[in-house]
Amino acid sequence: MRNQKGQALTELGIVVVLLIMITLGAVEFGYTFLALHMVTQATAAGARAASVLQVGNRGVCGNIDPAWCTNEIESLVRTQVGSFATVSGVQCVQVPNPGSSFPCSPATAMPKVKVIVNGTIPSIFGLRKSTVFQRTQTFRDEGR
Amino acid sequence: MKRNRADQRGQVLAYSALTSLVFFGFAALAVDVGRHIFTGREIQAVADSTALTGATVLARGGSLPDPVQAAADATTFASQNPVEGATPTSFTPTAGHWDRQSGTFTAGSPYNAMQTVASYSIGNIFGLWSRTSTVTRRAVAAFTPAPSLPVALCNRPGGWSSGVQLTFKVSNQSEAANTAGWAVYDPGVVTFPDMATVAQYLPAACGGGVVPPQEVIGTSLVLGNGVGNLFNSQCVTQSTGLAQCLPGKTFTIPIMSIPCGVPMNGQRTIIGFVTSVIDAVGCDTSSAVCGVAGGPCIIGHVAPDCLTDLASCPQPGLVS
Repeated sequence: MRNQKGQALTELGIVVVLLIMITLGAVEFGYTFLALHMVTQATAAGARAASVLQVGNRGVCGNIDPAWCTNEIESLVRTQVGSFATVSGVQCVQVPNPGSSFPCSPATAMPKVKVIVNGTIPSIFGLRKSTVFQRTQTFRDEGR
Repeated sequence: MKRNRADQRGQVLAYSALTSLVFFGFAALAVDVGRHIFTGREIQAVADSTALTGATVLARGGSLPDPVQAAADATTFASQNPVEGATPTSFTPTAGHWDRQSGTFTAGSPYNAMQTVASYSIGNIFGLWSRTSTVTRRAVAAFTPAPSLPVALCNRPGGWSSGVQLTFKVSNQSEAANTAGWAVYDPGVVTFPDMATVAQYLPAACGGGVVPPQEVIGTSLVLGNGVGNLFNSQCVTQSTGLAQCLPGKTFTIPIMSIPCGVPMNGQRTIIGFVTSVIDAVGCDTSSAVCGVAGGPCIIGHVAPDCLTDLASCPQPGLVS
């Protein structure tokens, strides 16, 4: 009987630590999925905005200026993501590439705009490294 | 006392087993439900992008909306936004009609919208309720363009493809050879009003500037050849004269349910949209000939699938 003194406390200690670890892990992964969900949503919004860029705001071949993409689309994505994730870069890729000066490349297939968002999702409890993500959303390019 | 202790042995074990089971059950449920919601966001992107692709095809056919081509293009586009790196397990595009007033979609003509339903089957990791579950998302994209010139076309056999000429000799006679006529965009008007009502919908450069309301396929408009006319003596000389302000410009105009070859008048229904370039305007009110130097007349041609001036293309948008 004396040998068992404090055994419950030790067991409780182990179980509580385990439970806390599991709970923190659940919160951590839940947060990662929430942030990834928001990034996906923001990428879709960015791709849609890029696809409807009016022809007057584009280059001579209907090309989207990378600087415009950085100014407008990246700030849109950043606003939507907020502080849930760190956005490191946003690219607007037109497929097929229209070219940026005469003669323009003819559209050989249905024109599309891809918006690619790169970044990281931080770890809230520091239990693991931050998650690196890349999300891509594609819309039909309506300005070509 | 001792006896009681012995009875209670293993009780905590039973409790912990039960609570762990419930705890891990909920954790497993959270993982699978979370994944279900996340996949839902990805499949929504497929539905959205394909609905917009289809609606763009319907809006930019260059002639009457082509539901077959729209559905084909939407299906081609379905593989562009992968769900967990794969294409959707099922994809159904439906061309149909979006009613702006009631906010409802109906399959079939008159076509102004594309509905897409995309599904993806995920294998649940823990599968507490089922081994696999199917996530389905729907989107509807429609186009409700604002026409930019108070002129409408008749329903030409073979459609209004790129380059086809439109002729509109303006008079208050029954001009059967006309393929275009004035369109009155005022809602609720059932008889052809005076020309001032029509003229307000001319571009600002022509002295108008009122933006016509957004129109959808299926709306009825009043048509007419003209009562009096807008072709005064300053038609050629003044910058707001029609011969100065219209030629060379591109406009979005509706195609109406009236067959070509009969006078363009009465209440008719919009069956499509087309972008047209106005080539020439005749101004001589004393001449009966339709031409550049002739009588009151507007001549134009259909733009090649609105590629010349995309700004005048009807823009589709997601409505549901």
